[in-house]
Order: sequence, then C-alpha cells, then structure tokens
Amino acid sequence: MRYGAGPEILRDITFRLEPGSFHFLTGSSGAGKSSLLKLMYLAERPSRGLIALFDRDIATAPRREMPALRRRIGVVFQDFRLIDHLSAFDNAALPLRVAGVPESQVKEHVTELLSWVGLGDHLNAKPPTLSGGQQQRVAIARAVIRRPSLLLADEPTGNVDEELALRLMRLFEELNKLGTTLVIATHNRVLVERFDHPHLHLADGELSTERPRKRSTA
Amino acid sequence: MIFRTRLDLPLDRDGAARFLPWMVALMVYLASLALAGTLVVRDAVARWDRGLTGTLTVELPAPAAGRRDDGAIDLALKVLRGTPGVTRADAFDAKRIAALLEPWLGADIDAADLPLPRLIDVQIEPRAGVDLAALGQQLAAAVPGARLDDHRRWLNRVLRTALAIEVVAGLIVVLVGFSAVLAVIFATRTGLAVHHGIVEVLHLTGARDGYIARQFEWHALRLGVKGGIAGLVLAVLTLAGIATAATQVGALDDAVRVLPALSAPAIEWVLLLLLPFAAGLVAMLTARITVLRALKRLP
Repeated sequence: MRYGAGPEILRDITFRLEPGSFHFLTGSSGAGKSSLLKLMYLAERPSRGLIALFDRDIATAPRREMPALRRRIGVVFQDFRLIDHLSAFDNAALPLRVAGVPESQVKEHVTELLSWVGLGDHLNAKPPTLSGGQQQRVAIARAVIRRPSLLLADEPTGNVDEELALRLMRLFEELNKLGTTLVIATHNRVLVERFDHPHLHLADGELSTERPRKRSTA
Repeated sequence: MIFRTRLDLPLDRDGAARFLPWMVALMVYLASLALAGTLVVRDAVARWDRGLTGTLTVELPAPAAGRRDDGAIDLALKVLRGTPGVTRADAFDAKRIAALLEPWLGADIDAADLPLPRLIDVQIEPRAGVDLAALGQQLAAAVPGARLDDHRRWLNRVLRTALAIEVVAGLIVVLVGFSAVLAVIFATRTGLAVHHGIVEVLHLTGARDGYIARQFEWHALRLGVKGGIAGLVLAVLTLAGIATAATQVGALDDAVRVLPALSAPAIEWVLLLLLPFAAGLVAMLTARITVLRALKRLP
C-alpha cells in the first residue's frame, strides 16, 4: 500500500491469520506496523493486492457491507482516540450503540466490563480527567465490548505499568480462548518473550513470520 | 439515562451552533416579510376583484350643447333593464355626480350646467353569463357614443402589477432559501472538519453513514427551527408595527389595510407559521446530504 503518490510503505506482504490465532506484530517504528493494522481494520484500502477478511474480499466488497465487517473487528488505537466529551461509560458503549443494541443490555455489559478493567468507580469520568493508563483501559474496553472476531491492538500496553500490562494480556488471552483472533503490535520485547505466541515481524515494508522458540503443546 | 439526549459529536459547542440560528432567523424574517407582502397584495386584489365583479359602468356622451337632456339615459336604461341577467341599472343623479366632482370643482356647482358624460351604474348577476360585447353594441346602437366599462382593463393592469410583486417576492424567498442551504452546508462541513477525529472513530467502529448523518441532521433541525421561530416572531412584530402605524396615520385605504389581512385566518397565513419548520426541514435535509456525500470519501 501507499499513501497518495508516496512510496509504497508495505509491499509483497502475504500472510494468513487462522481464526482464533494470536500474533504479535513487531518491527521498529516506521516499519509499517500501523499501516498494516489500518489495512486490517479497514481504515485504508490497499493500492494493490488482495485482502480478505472473514473470507470476504475487501477490494470487491461493496462499501455498504463495510460497517458489518468493521463491527466484527475491535481496535485499540495507539493514541486511544477516545471521545473527550463522552464519559468512560459512553465511550466504551459506543460500538454497542452504533450497532443499535438496546440500552438495557448496553448498561449491563459496559458496567461489567469497565468494572473488570478496574474502572468501576470512573464510569462517568471524562477521558481528559483520567490517567494515561485509565484511558488505555477505556480504549481496550471499547475495543472488546462487542466480543469481536478480530482484535487489533496498537501498543495496547504502552502506557501501563507491568502489572497492569500482564493483566491486560491475560484479558487478551481470555478473549483469544473464546475464539477472538488477535494481532497485537508492540515494541515490548519482554511481553513478546513472556507470552508464547508467533510474531509477525515487519522490516523495510516486508513481513517475516517468526515462530515462538518454545512451541506450546497444550 | 435512556431518555437523555446524547450526541456522540459535541456539535452544540461549535461556533456554527451560535451563528446558524441567527442566519436562519434573518432569512426566515426576510422570507416572512416577502410572503406577507405577497399575501397582502393578493388579498387586496381579491377584494377589488370581488367588489368589481358584476359591476359595470355605462358612460354616455354629454348632451349636445344647450340641451339638458336628450333622452339618452332613458334609452340606455331601457336596453339595460331589458337584458336578462342585469339586476339593477341606475343613472347617477345630479347629487352623486356633484359629490364625485366636489374635490375638484367645489361644492357650489350645478353639475347639470356642465357638458359632462353621464354615468349609469349597472349590477349584473355574475353567473348569468351576460354577453358584455353584445350588450355594448346594443347600447352603442341605441345611444351613439355609449361605452360599457366592466373595469376589466383597469383590473387586469392591477393584476399584472400584483403578479410582478408576487414573482419578485417568490424570487426573494428562493434566494433566501438558497443562502440558507449554503449556510447549512458551510456549517456542516465545518462541523465535519472540526470533529473529523470523532467521525472517523465512529466510522471505524462500524457506524453506518446514516448513524453519523443523523447526529448532524438532528442538530441542524434544532438550530433551523430555533432560528426560524425567532425570525418569524420578529417578522410578525414588524408586520404588526406596520399595521398599527398605517391604521394610525390612515395612510392606507380600505383595500390595502394590513391588519384585516393579518387577522384573516386564511390558509396562507397558516403556511407562514409553518415557515420555521420548513427552514428546519431544509437545514436537516441539507445537513444529511452534505454529511452523506462527505462520508462517501471514507473507505
């Protein structure tokens, strides 16, 4: 893919994510991690090549089918992209409301999830009044509230201490066990080493897949 | 929680939220005055038309010099009263002619001494289908030089003027509406640009274009109706002011009084009351189309 008439940022990348798989996406900054994620969460269309999501070819899918596809994808943006004038509750509730889920269910699910990520006391807090770590958890809650089939996270543990990072990783693994396919872009070598998942490595716009050194046999 | 109004986009805090109602108010004000002007003119013309339909005037030439009466009036009256459909035909008597001339010639004039054309006031049943051309010819045959005036020519000229006023007023309304549409497009585009980040998050969260557009259109509807009502209130105050002033000064005669027209519960005046809602609706549709077109550019 390329932006406008600029150079191709990603080229000759071929990979397939098995449903229910868990990958780290690594690479130095500027290697194209975010661009690859953007293609995957349908914020950009490829300038050439083929992307199929949930067995649907994105290049030929009509635009009106995109919202339904996007609703199966959860995204944790690197800069969170929370809506400042909405409360933590309303931010996390956004994907449900956008999909027209009844308000009674919204209340139940959102309250439960925000409590689970430790924000039960901050339901009505506006993002600017929350710490970086708290904002990140709201962003993660928003990404997972709809139990997405595919969860894409851009540096989701960048702003939290190690203990919370581990807790969040456990949340991701939990979701993965429930069938969600995960791709987590990260710089955090410790995290990558600690968890036993294959990782996609981006360098100079090209992708290589590295298997974990010790394969889990469970 | 469920019933509170919640906008994902903080459109209420935009500059547009402050300036757009004023724009709409000004435009509805102008449109209301233009429409009210049309209605007053139309009302006046209709009243003239009603008043004059079925009324004819027959004009007979003045009697030859030295003769007070040549029997022409009797001849003409005979023709008129013999025509089916004519309900009344009366010659203007000397007193009435004197009254007509008084403003010009003073009170001490004996009209009978002047070589004046003589007038006959004729009332016909409008639905009887009296053939006016034939009647005119009959009169001319009975009294050479007799003329039948059904006021059509004069009324047609008034109607043409009224039509011109209506066209100009209509043009003003169209132009004002066009400006309102442009203002809403501008405000909506500004809103889209200012809240681009939020719009993108909604889009990526799987919001359909309609969901995002709805936020803008409800907002535009509210601002439009708000501004529209303000504009209409100002317009009504202005019209009431004009009407009061006109009544006090007595400047406007019976036919063009504004107040009776205002108090008349004509359908048109009800339409005028709908103007703010029309403005709101136009704003709403414009916002919707603008947003949908802009969103098409997102993948």
